[in-house]
Amino acid sequence: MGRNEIRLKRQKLSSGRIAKHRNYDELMARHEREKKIKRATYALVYFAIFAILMILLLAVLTIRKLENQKAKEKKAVYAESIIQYKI
Amino acid sequence: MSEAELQQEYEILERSKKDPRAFGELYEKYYDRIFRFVYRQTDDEDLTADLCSQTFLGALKNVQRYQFRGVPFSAWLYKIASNEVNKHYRKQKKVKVFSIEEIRVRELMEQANEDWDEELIERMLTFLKGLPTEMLQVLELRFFEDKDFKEIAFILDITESGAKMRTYRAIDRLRKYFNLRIKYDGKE
Repeated sequence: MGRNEIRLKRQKLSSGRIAKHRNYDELMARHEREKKIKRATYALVYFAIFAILMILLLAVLTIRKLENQKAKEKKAVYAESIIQYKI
Repeated sequence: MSEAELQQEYEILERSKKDPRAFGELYEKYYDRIFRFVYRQTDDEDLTADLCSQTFLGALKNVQRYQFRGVPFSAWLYKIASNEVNKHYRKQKKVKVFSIEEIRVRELMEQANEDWDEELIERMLTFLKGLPTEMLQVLELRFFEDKDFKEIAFILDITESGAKMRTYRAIDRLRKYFNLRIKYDGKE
């Protein structure tokens, strides 16, 4: 039924040994680093979203322009064929 | 913990929301306790230092969202530490370790007026091995960290009655296993 490993410590961990690991300046530096990474990640995500939207907008505008151009060309061909027919 | 101490901690936390440097006071105050708590569940000094660092980093990151919920700030730290330990064991898929200090067990035995010997401690270890993790966690917080049921419930994310039930069940098992007549909360 051993679900956990139970160990007996004959000696208590001394405060001096724990103090070796205590370093608030390092923690603060890590915190600042993570904050910067978080900010950079957010900026990158926002930039990516903005870039995607711009690409979509450009694509829509280009497609519309092409469609207009095609429609104009069609109209021109149609008008030309009517003129030729009348002549 | 007195009302004045709670108020003082709350003020430090409010200051920490504007200036993370202020959090250093709470870090210094609770580092040892959190370290010992985590160390008891890992038995590895370097791993404990890592998990402790993660715990305080997590607290610092989320200090803006901290709200007083009727338990001392330390309970919030214990909760984060407990989650970090569980996350570590889930990732590593290892059997959870509970290392207990002989001196603390001796103190508890003396409180129960029991004679101390090696055989008894061996039996105690065998008994603890058979307990499910949830019970061990409650016992650890109750008898090694001296937490009340409200705090235990908050730390382990269970109800207060759930924390009591787990403790009483563990004590009952202890009574039966050792054939003892331990008094706990006035019950025998």
